[in-house]
Amino acid sequence: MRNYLSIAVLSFTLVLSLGAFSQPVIINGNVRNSNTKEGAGAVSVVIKGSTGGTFTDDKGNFKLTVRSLPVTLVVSSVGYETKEVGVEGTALVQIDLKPSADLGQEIVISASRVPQKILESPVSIERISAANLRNSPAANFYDAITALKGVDITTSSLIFSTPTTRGFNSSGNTRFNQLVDGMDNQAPGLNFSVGAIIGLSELDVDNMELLSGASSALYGPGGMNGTLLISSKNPFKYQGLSFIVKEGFMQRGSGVSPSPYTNWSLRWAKKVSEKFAFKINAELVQAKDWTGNDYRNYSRTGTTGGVIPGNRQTDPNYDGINVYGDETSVDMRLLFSGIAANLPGAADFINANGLLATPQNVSRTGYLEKDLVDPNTVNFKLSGSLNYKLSENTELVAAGYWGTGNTIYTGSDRYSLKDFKMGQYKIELNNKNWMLRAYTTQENAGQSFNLTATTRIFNEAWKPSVAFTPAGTPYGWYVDYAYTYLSDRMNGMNNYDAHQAARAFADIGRPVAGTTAFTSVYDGIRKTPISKGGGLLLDKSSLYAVEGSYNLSSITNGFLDILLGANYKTYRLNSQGTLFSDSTGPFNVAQYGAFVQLSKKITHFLNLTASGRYDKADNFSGHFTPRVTAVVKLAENNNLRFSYQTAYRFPSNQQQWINLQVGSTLLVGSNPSFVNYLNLQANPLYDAQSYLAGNPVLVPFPSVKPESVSSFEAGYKGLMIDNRLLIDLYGYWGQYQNFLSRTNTVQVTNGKPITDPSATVRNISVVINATGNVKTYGFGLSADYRLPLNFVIGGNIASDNLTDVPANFVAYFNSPKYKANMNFGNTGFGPKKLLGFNVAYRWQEGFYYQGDFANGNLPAVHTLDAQISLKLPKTKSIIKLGANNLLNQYYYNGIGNSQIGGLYYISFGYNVY
Amino acid sequence: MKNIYNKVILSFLVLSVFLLIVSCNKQPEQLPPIATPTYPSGNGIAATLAANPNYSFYTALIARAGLTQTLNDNSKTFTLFATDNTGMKIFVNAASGGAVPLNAPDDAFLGFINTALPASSAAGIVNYNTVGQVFKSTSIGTSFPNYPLPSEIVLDSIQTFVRLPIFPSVGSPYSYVNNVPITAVDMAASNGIIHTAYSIAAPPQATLKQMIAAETNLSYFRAAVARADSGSTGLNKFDSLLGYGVTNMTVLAPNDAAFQSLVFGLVYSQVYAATGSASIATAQANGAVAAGPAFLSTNNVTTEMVKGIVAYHFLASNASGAYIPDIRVFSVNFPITPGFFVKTLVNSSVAAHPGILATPAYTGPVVTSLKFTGYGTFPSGGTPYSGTAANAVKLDNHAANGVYHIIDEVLLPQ
Repeated sequence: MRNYLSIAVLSFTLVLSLGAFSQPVIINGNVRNSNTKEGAGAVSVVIKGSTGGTFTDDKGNFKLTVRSLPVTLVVSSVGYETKEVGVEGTALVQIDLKPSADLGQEIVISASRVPQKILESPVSIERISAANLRNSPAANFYDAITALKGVDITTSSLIFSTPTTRGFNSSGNTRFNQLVDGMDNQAPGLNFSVGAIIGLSELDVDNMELLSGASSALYGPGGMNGTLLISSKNPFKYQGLSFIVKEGFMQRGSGVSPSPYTNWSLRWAKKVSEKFAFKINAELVQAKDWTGNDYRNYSRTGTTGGVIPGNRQTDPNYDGINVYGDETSVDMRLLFSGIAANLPGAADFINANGLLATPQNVSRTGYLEKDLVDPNTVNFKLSGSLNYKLSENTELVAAGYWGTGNTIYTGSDRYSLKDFKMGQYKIELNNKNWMLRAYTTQENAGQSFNLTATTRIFNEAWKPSVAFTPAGTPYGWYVDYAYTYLSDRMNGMNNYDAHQAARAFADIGRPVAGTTAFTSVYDGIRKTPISKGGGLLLDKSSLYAVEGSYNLSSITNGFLDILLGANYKTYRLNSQGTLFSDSTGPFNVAQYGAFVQLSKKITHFLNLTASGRYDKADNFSGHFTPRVTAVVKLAENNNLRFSYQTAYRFPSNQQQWINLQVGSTLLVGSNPSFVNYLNLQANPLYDAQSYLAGNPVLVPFPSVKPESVSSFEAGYKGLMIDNRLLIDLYGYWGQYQNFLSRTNTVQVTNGKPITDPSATVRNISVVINATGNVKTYGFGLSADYRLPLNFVIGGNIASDNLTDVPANFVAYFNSPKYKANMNFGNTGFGPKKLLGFNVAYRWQEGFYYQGDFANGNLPAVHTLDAQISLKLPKTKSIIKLGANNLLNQYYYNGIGNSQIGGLYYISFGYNVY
Repeated sequence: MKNIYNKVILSFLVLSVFLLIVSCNKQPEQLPPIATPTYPSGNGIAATLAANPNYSFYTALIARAGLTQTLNDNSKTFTLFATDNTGMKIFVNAASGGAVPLNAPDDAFLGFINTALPASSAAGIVNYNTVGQVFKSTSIGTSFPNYPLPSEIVLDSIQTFVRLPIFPSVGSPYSYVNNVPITAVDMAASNGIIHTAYSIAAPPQATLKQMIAAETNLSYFRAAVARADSGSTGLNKFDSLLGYGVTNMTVLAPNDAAFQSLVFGLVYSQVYAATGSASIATAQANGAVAAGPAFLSTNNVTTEMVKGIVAYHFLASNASGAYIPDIRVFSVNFPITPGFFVKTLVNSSVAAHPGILATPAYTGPVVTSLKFTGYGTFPSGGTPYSGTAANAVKLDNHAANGVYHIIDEVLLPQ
């Protein structure tokens, strides 16, 4: 009986208990850094054995609803050792996480489009986390990429850097993909990403992953040399208000007063409920920008040339690299021969002084870049997202990213991208197994203008080069120049003095840059579209894209991992005739493609992956790109990787559709419609070089194919010495085919046969596939060592090389043979581990830079960046004192680009995590 | 622990020092600059002449012209056609109308130069004798007729390269400036070179039109020009050409006697052919001559005929690709080569025309005789024609826009 009673009581108790436990239990907790006792935000708190979980807010607090107690919570975050905590009651759970001493624990997604440990990545990949950014000295988060191994950077301005890997860099790099939260970040009209002008703000960057080398197989055409993927912070995970106020100054060259530097960013994210969260970001950068001040003399032939001796005084035909308007050049023999023919008594004098024997080219007086470009740069970014969880595994995201900024871009000419605006807007469904995304990019070139063209037109507006009165009498700048020159020679002046005097006379009344007389005319021209004789670029092109992927691994149950994906994108080109051949209205160019990736773990030490992608673009036949990778596990955390990858790129929109007069040359696209447009059936093109040599060779309008690269890579990544040393090593070999390039041709303009001496021609640059295959090879090696007391020292070295370059082939390789980085830092040391610092040194060897705008030897670059920081835990804030190019050693990494000086700042960050 | 800490700090310091040392960027490569010209030092042209007693009169002329500083300017280079004291005496003697005789003491010459000679005249002479840049005797071309160079006399204030030319020529064995023999060449100065002319090569003062208008024995020629110009306009008119300041012409101007002879012969032959009477023909021919230059405006001659005759008296070259009157041939420029023909404006319409046979005779450097012979072999297949040789009776009449030689026969192109 007693037993029965006991059983009955027990059963009742159990019933009561079960009844009681069937009510949800709320666990409140807080996660701290065990060292600093700071609240640790964005820490994952998951109930062991289930998919349920949450993240800590910015103070480290979390609230989790469970069905019953006890439970075990798995608490993890990158940079901390994972901890399991048993919870038996509803009292506040205090969890202290120990910062991890292990290297190489990051998870990367982009290498295979599925999460995997970076140590097990099948291809070379580099990752920068938000934690890395916090301790980076880079004033602009984007520039932290510079410290990664194998990265080349072309810095165009304060806010516009262009990275690449494995060569072929330029101010606007069309062989490198940049994806921001999955969206192709290129400006649709320009066909390259404009650094971080548009995209995420510093506080919203969760991580950046850099895939070195060819990566078309997973990310589509374009990633010939690499892909950078930047991901933002999810508002469910990263919550609260954060801001950073950076103030400082920039050195802008000797004789120029330093510029104040401002960089403010703000992020506010809120998890309204377990289903809904949102975030808002804003960032403002304001400074007086660096400008190009390379005033060396340049000899230009079409899109080739080189630096030559001389300056404005010593070379009458001086064409300064960062001086504009002086591209206009006239052979004075045109005037001298007329005088000699019509003025008895002058011909022998003119001949005796050799004025008809050799070209007497004289350039017009130009204006310095610093006098033409508004140095005030403002970069303002605004972004936000609404995130709604349709179910535990499916999240709906609506996000927008908008930015505006001023920068300089070096293409065939120098362009001032002024009030450039771009917005990206997306709707995305994210499921554990699949993804569907639709987005658009809307570009507006604002008041962007071509510096060269605008200034040349300005010169003509002020004083025409050569014009004729109704009676046929010539007048203008060159007439004044030639007459004065000749007269002064007749007065006994030497050639040098006569040129100075002639220029001084011809330039009488020339508006001084910055004066009202100058700006009223100059502004009028730069605000007049190129198609109407001005310099304004009217680019309002856009991109619309839809893409999706499905991971079938949950269906295949681990036997074979299968990932499928497809995308469709269409560009709407709209430049109103100022860039493309679209004067009659916008038109569309579409691309679509699909990929499949099969992945199989053959044994516990061998993982094989095969991917294939097919793409088709308007006006081009379809193209297949395969990728095969293998990862061999040598030991735990020690892996060898092998990959064969291909990548290709359709000619960019500009290469297909451009119709732009640049200097004396008309750039046209590769689209066959240009055959009719240029009337080539009746008036064909001739090779410019052979024409100049007096033996013109007919050039049929080139039929252009996409260019492609095949690349083989082997690498090793592993941890050693008690997981304190991380080694990453790779070597690659690549071969480029059908390299897209340009060649100069001429077309007769006066109806005469090309061989007729009186035939006049115009220069037309057409797109071609270069013949011959160039090859690249190189290696990279990095080592990071975690010292005691949280000190970390690291370094990397990389080498990129180009071989088998055919004669007269301009590859634009633009990569130093060797480059290296060293860094030394600590994220927490000293009293209460509140201090942090980082010193980063970068070196790259000098090399010969090739660009359509200018070629020349780039000197070696050394830069030293450093920061020291102090955490203030009570106010959840951090004060940082930082310097980029600490020693103010001016450098540039593209001929014609801005000279970069020191940037020094102090920042106050609140709730940065 | 502290030990490790110190090591870390030490390594950081070592690293920092290393980086500080190597972090030094080079500026973009600078190519060797183009050297700017340096000016010579030493005695300029004026100083060089001043240092030579044989040139004291010309030195005074330069000073009178106010051009001493200019000609000593080492930032410029010049060629000066100077004259030594012997030549200057000839000049002063002539310029003074004989008031300063050739055997006067030097002070008389200097006095004339320093006071009686207007400074503007002195400047005109020196500027005319000066050419910017260095033209050594070896660099002066030898092609016919001479090597015109722009002097320092500016004719157009806007197009200041329009200069009054001076005409050096290098022959064998004699060289000249205009028609003045050169007695010494290539005297070096720091800023140029000096050639010495036997006498002053003076700048012309008037145009061909003005000078021809002032010739009393060229009234027929003027009438011929007027008749030839009827119906023409602009620079198609000979008269306009003669008055146009920047042309460079040579005109062989037949004197009145020559035209009278032509008129007589023309009328005589016509009347004789019509009447067969020598006396009637003579009377009418005399009557035509008595009518004077007005005869050329009558219907007895055609405009085309007169135009052809006048054109035949304007020398021309086709250096510019077409026959235009662009040569200034001084008597000394006609080569002694036998059978030398010079083209005329007739060649502008009949390119094959042989031109005019010029036959000079020299005594020393001076032309003592110059004959011109009209010579025709056209139309093709026609009877070869050779007219009576004309003697140049008044040589080297130098105008701003050309030179004319008065001849005693009208040359006929056919």
